[in-house]
Order: sequence, then C-alpha cells, then structure tokens
Amino acid sequence: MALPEKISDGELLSRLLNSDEEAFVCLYRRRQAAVYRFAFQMCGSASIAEDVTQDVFMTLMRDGAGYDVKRGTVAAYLYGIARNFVLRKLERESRFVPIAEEQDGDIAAAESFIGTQNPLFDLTRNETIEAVRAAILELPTHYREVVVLCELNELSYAEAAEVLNCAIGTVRSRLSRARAILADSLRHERGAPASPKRVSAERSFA
Amino acid sequence: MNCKEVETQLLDAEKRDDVLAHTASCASCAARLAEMESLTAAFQRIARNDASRQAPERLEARLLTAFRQPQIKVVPMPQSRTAAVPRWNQWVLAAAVVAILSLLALFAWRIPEPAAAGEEAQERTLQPSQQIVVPSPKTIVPPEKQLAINEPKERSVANNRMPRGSNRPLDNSSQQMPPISDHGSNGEPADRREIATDFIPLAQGYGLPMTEGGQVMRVELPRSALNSFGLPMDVNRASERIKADVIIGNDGIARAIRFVR
Repeated sequence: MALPEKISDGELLSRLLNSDEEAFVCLYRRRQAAVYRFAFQMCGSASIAEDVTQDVFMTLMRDGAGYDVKRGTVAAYLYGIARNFVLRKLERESRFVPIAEEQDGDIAAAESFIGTQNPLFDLTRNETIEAVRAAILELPTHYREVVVLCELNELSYAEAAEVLNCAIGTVRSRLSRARAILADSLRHERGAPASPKRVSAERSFA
Repeated sequence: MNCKEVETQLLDAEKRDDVLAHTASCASCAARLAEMESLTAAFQRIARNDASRQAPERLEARLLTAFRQPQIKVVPMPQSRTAAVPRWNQWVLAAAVVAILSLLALFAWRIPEPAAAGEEAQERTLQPSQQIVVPSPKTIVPPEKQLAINEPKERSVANNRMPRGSNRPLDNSSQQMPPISDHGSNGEPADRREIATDFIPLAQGYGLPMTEGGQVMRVELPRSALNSFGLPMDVNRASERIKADVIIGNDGIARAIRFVR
C-alpha cells in the first residue's frame, strides 16, 4: 500500500468516501480483524462473524458519512455498527430451533472442566479455556458484550462506553456482574449434569 | 473494608491494597479474589488465542467488488458536521421507506368507496408505464396474481386488504405466512415460484395489536436493505432491487416486513 501506516482512520474514512479504493483497502485491513473477532466472540460462529464483518464494511461504504468524530473514534464507530448487526443476528437466531451441534469438542472440554477437583479455577488450562469461552457465550448479551470488549479486546471502560453508548459506570458495573455470573456458572457446573447444548450456526426454521 | 465492599471493588485497581489487606484475614474473600484472578488469566489466554483470528481473504475481494460498483459509493463527507445527520442505525433508512409507503397506503385506504363498489373488482392490470400503483381499496388482488401480471423489472406496489379482526389477508390460501413461503406452488413453473422469509416485526410495530386487520403491500427495496434486517446479502447484487411484503395495519402503521425472491 502506498498510503503511510500513520495515516489516521478518520483520514482514511474521508478518502474512502471520496472513492479512494486504496484508502478503503488500508482501513479494511487495519480494522477487519477487530470487527471479526468481536463478532466471533459474541456469537461463537465463524460464518456469522464473516457475515457481520461484510455488513459492517458495506455499511461503512454506504453510510460512512454519518460518522461524527465528536462521538468517538472510527474504531468505536465500527464496533458500534458490528454490535448492531450482532444483536440482530442473535435476535434472529433466537427464533430458530437447533438441529445440530457444532464444536462438540467445546462441550467435551466443558464437561472435562466440570470434573476438576481443584477448589479454585484452573482456568489457564487449554481445555478449560474453551469452557470459559462457552460460558461467555451463555451470558446475557449486555453482559457478554462488556466482557468481549473490555476483557477479550482490551478496550478501556471509556472506549467500551462509546461503543455501547452508555455511561462508564454502567460498563464497570456490568463487567463486575458479568464476572460474578461467569464465576458462579463455572463453579456450579462442577458435578452438575452437562450444560445445555449450545445452539449451532446450522439451523432450521422452527 | 468489609466483605460487601470487597465484592464490589475486586476489579478496582485503586482499591487493590485495601482488598488484599482484607483477604489476608478473610478466607472466603481470598477465594473470591483467586477466582477473579484466575478468570482474568483465562480472559488473557482467550485473547491471545484469538489474536490471529481475522476475516477470510475472500471477504476483502467481495467488498472490493462492491466498492467498485458506482451504486455503492456514497456521497462525500459533509462539509459541515453540524449539518450532518448521524446515521448510526440503518433502521432509520428502512423505517423512512416503510413510513412513506405507509402514508401512501393510508391515503388509499381512506378514499371513500363508491356506493357501486362492485363485485367486478377482482383483478386489475397494472400499466407498465406506472412507476408506483396503489389500487383503491376495492381492488383486492392476491399477491400471486399481481406478480403474474407484473413485468419483473417493473416497480410496482400490490395492495391487498386484510379482513378486519384478522391478521391474515383475504386470500388466506397464499398468505399463511410460514417461515419460508413457497408461493405459486399450485402448478406454476418453478422459476415463477416465490420464496419468502418469515415476517420480521418492524420496530414501530412492537406492542401494537396485529389482529385489527390491515393490508399486505408488495414493495421493492434496494437489496442492501437486507442488511438492515440482518439478512445475508450477495454483495455482487447490492445494486439490484428485492421484493418485499409489508403488513400495514388499519392505523397506517407498518407492522412487519418479509422479503421475497
């Protein structure tokens, strides 16, 4: 790319909106991974993450002129668009009935975690990492998104508040509550029957 | 610092010394703190594992193709930011389209019916030259008939009245509204059949009764509107139109929409 690395996202967006293909490619390559990861961590599905990433950048092409620098960074703007699409996908998914499981390995990993005798979590083991990932996917959406943004993508509380369009204190309290739910969920799963099967991305209409 | 305060301030870096001082003498809070630290380590591990995740390369190619289509390119950034209207939510676009169509429908609905409203009003042919046709309330035409008489490239609006007290249109044989509807299966050629999504409630329809009658209106939207409803879209066809059915209540408010291909 001929464009310098240090050129700002805002400048790239401005050029993109003036049909500068190079600027679009530069901005896409700079930000697509974050958008994709966010969607993947929110939904647990690579195909949905791909769809969301496509939708986000299509929206940027079409409606990018609506970006207002006073409301936050371009990155936060993209996260905000991605969040809207993710929430719609999740809402649509809630109407479907699962017909198949995906990532059976994750369930097996979660069940192996259940049997641990360690009084404290040993959550850095490979298999339990997947159990934590599955537990995050079970969180209510408004808790899940703060965990994904602040813990898995290392956004500050202020940045997360921009994305979620809420107060910093709300982010902090939701994160605290989300951690408590996760801890309780993982703790109580030990010795309990297998957790409800995760909903697959491969679905049928109800 | 007591246990209650520790519970709420476990994540507060500024209070860490106080928390540690309390946990030195409180086994349950110490265990709680250990859990949180273990959870933090797990989050960091997941973040490291996911650091290499990114969209597949084919997506960049698809988006570039869309970017090169003139229809997709947007207006330049506004000169004055104060004049810019924020468009963070794509619902606005869809809602505006639906609102305009709703007004048209309401207008048509309130036209007084002539006394001689006859039984002959069963079918009406849309003229190819008409850009948008809103039939009067007496012209009740099942959507499959409308489609049969419309040229594929025409931009037309088929208007079906629904009976009062029902959320289904008059011709219920074709409007059972299953999640995926295969219209025109009564002996029609396969290439003329319609596939429809389930009806998607519109935001302004929440909390409104669906059983007071209304109309189903056939409209066309930019294919990119699929994005607004979280439906997948072929970016190579983003500039094309897609048909949709909009349920409009007797109060003129659009309740739901479904896409048809």
